[in-house]
Amino acid sequence: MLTAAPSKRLPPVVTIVAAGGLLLVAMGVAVALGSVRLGPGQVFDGLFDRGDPVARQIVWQLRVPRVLVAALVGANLGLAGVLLQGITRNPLADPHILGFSAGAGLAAIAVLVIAPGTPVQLVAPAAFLGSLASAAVVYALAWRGGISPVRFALSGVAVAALFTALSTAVIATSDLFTQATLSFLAGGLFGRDWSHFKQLWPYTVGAGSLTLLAAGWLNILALGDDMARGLGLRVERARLLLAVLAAVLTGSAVAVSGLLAFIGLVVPHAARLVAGNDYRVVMPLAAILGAALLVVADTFARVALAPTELPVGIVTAVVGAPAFLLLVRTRT
Amino acid sequence: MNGSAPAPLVEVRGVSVRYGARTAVDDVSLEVRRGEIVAIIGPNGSGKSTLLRAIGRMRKPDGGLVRFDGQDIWRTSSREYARRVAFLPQAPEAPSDLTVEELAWRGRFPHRGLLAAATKGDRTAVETAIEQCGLEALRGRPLATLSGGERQRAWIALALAQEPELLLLDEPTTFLDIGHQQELLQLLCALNASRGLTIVMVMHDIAQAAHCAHRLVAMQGGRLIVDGTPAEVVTAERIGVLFGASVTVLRHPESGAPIVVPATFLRGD
Repeated sequence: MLTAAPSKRLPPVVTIVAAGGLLLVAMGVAVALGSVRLGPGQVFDGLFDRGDPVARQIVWQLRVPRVLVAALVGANLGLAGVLLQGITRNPLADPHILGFSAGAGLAAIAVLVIAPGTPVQLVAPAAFLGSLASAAVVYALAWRGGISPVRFALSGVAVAALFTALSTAVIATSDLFTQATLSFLAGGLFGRDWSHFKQLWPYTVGAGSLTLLAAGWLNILALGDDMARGLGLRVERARLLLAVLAAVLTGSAVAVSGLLAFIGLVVPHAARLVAGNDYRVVMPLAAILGAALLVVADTFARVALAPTELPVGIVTAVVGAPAFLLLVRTRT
Repeated sequence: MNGSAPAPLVEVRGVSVRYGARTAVDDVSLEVRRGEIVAIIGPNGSGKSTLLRAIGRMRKPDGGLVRFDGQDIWRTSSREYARRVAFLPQAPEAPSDLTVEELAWRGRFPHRGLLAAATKGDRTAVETAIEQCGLEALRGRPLATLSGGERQRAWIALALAQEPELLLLDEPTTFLDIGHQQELLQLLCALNASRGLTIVMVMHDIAQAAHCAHRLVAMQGGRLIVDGTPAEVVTAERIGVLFGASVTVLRHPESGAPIVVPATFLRGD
């Protein structure tokens, strides 16, 4: 009866290589497109930091780092989304909804609004620390001799609401409402350059590889706490480590990009749809798909109304919401 | 033959488990020998499941200790314990699109490193488990498409893939109809007979427990009050006192196993 249940899924290696190819194509197209029209030769030369100085400047100093930053942010949010949906066993979890990025927003706004003289470079570390802090608050609120996934999810939603309200309060009561504040809240990659790339990649590589290593734990956690314990997993320790990884991935990403909704929510579903239930395959695939999705969205944000730019957070929300609904309706 | 009896596989010594002010298990001692099937019976809230959880290393006792193969179970790592003891909770959950085979593979977790590739031993264990549970034809099916009985067998396959010496089950037949209950108990008995698997399970149905287990232990109010063969434990008086019920015990016409029925008819015809 082997034909009764044919495996419709491609082998994991094929899936991941194909997705990786897709990402490379998306990045190539993203570098080629922009408000300034460049020929293929100019783009190619620019990739090697040579040739026509203007094209070189545009390609190597503007587009390449921005595309790379988009890929890193997307990968981080995709991984964080899988982690949080896995920890809470809740398909609606994502770093945004569970308050993991709410602290970043509040910290960034506090810095920008309360102390307007602060150098802009301090916004990113503040956002990173704010994100870790809000994740810690969510975890502490959910702790009662252990973490229950439901309590974790509900604490997250509450903290997200509270921190967002506080952010709004800070903005509403301040006369120093700035463009920077708004663009941080909307999420965007305008003007992101090599310095942002250098700031972000160690987190993506470091926390990202640990996440891939620990993906097998999520397979076991998916069977419920009792079963996971029975299989020898130290459940609370595993969950804490996974949550810390989610917080670091989220915090480092939103510190660079501002608050981007939907990537962390949609990407895990797409990855599971393609790769099935094994988190050891879902996790790397989510990183790649997250990267590809944000690269495409950011390219759209750059060129759709060129020379004006849309905040990419708006694009991810506008594209992400219907895509998510479509996923939900076709899956269930 | 040096005259001493073999050491018990499981030794529960004066174990107490408290939840806040409530004592769920109160100074319970129990021994389980290798190759035995022991059923824990008792009314709701008597501490059966809590005792099973204490044996399964799910809950550290507040007093007393549990030994497995002579060793305090809290002195071994959870992973080491999981290689020798499998625990099936009452209503285990899994992603609905997980297939039978994927589920069985999860049982290899305690034997494998996070990055280790599957070994021949892993494959053999999973294949044997699937075969023993009669799931060959269903191996690629998602759990959501299975009947309750098939799904329960898939969970047993996961437990068997752990290659345990002791299998702990919390009310394994509760959500099954009578046909699937029988099928499952037959499977457990066969595993006990063929590979000497020791089984401790919490049972709701006394007749089934009496039919299947070598020994019954009865709990009430957190205390273990009776421990003996089915014939010793299942008497009208004991069951009546245990459950606060008025019952008659009949004998199965073929096996002679005790069957508990209500003593009086409530419906007047």
